[in-house]
Amino acid sequence: MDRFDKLSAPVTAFNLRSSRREAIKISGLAVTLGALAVACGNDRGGSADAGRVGNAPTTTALEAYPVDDAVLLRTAASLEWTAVEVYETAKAGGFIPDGFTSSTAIFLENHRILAEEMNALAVAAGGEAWGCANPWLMDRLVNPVLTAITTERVIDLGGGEEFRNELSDQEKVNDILNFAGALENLAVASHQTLVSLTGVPEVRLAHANAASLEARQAAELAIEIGGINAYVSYGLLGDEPPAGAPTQFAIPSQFGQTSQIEIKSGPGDQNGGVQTFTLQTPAANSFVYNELTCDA
Amino acid sequence: MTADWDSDEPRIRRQGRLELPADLPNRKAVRSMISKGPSSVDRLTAEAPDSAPAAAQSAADAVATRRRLLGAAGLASAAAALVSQTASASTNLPTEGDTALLTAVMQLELTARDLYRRRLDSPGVGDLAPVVSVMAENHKAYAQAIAGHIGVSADTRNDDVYMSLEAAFGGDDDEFLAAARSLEETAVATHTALLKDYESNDAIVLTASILVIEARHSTVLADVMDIPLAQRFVSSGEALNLGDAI
Repeated sequence: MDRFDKLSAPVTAFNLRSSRREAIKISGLAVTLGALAVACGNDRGGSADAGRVGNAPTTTALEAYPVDDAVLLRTAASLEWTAVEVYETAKAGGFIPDGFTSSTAIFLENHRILAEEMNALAVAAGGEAWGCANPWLMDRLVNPVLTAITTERVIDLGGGEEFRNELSDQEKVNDILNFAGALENLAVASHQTLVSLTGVPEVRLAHANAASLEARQAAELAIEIGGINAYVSYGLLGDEPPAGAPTQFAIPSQFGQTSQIEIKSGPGDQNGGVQTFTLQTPAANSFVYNELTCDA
Repeated sequence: MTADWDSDEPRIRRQGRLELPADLPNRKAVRSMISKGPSSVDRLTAEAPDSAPAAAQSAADAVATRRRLLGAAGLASAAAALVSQTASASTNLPTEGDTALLTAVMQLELTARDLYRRRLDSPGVGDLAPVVSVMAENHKAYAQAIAGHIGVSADTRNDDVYMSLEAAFGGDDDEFLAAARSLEETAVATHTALLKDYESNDAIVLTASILVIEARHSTVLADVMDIPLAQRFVSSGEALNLGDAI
C-alpha cells in the first residue's frame, strides 16, 4: 500500500482512535483558550485573599491601630516606667551596691519625672496617660533577663544528668548594673528616634531633653561601673580592649546610635556560653497603642 | 541650594528612567518603551517632563494607533509620577532656613574642634589628652556631617566664640575643664533649641544624634571636675544666639 492508498482506505479501528484523539486535542485547546480569555479579562471575580491549602481555620485580619503622637508619647512613658520597675526590683532584691545608691536614686526619680512629662504631653495630644511598664518589654526582655541573672540555670543533659550553674552575689550585682546601663542607653536611643517622628515642636523638644538627660545618666553609670577606663570606648581611641575592660562607656560612639543593643546576662551553660539578650527601640510590637490599658 | 536642585535636569531625568509607575496602561516600564525604536512617543521619553503633554498630543494627532495612544498616556503618567516624587523627596532636603541655621551650627562645631586642638597643643593637657583628642575629633565629625548635609565646606569657625574661650582652653586644668564643660552645655542647649525650627527631617535626625553625645562629653568633664552628683544631670547651658541665622 502506497501512501495514496491510505487516503482511500476504509475506516479502521486505528482511525477511530485517531479521531478520538483529535477530538480530545481540540476540546483541550478550546478549554485552554477559554481559561486564558477568562484570566486576561477585566471582570474577574473571586476572593483576593492568599491561597489556602487544606482544612485550615479562617484567619482574622489584624486591626489597623493608628500610631499617632499620643501612642508615641505613651510608649515613651512606658519605657520610663519600665526603667523605674527595674531599679525598684534591683533595689528590693539587694542588687544595688552602696556606691550606686545615690546615683540610682537620682535616675529613679528622673525616670518618674520623665514618665509624668510624657504622659502630660500624651493627654495634650488627645490620648490617655500610661501608668505602668511596657508590657511587651517586660514579657520579652526584662523578666527573662532578671530571671536569668537571679536564678540557677538548670540544663538537662540526658541520661538523668543535669548541669547546674548560678551566679555569685557579686556577679549578680554586676549583671544587674550592666542591664541598667543597657536600659539607660535604650532610653536614649528611643527618645533620639522619637525626636524625628513627631511634628509637634513642643513634643520634639521634650524628647530631645529626655534623650540628653538619659545620655548623662548612661554616661554616669558607665563611669561608676568602669571608672576612668570607661570614659571613651576603645574603638574611638583606636585601641584593642584589654581583658577585663569595661563593656559600657560614657562616650561609646561618635554619633548617637539607635541600633539594637546586645548584652550577655546570667550564668554560662556547660560550654561556658552565656545568654544574649537584645534591646531594641520601640516598634510596632512594643508601641503602647491608644486601645491598650495597663489592666489588660 | 534649592535653585541648584531645580536646575539639575540630568538628575531629574535619571530618576524618571528608574521610575516604574504602577498605572501605566500597557503595564510596561518607561525604560522598555525607550528601547523599542523609532516611534515619536518613545523618543520623547528622554526629554524633560515639561514636554510630556505636548508629546502626548503630537502622538495622538499623528498615527492614532492604539499602541501609540497607550504609550502617550503612559508617558504622561510617568511625568506626573516624577513630579510628585520630586515634591515629596524635598521634605528631606534642607530649606533655606535650615541651611542658615546649620551653617551657624557647623561653625560652632568647628570652633569646638579648634579649641580642643588648642588644648592638645598646650603643655598642661596631661593624662586627659586621649579624651580631649576624641572630643576634638567628634566635633570635627559633627561639622563635616552638617557641612555635607547642606553642601558646603567645613572650613569656617565662629571666631567670636573661639576668641572668648581660647585663653581658658590654654590655661590650667580648672580653667580648661570649666570652659570645656560650659562649651559642651552651650552646644547641647543650642542644638536642642534649634530642633523646633528645623523643617527637614534629616536636619532633625542629625542634630539629635549629635546632642546626645555632647551631653555625654559634658558628663565626662563633670566627672573629671568632681562636680557634685546632683548637678551633673542638670542642663546648665543656654542656647547660643547665632545672630542673623536665627
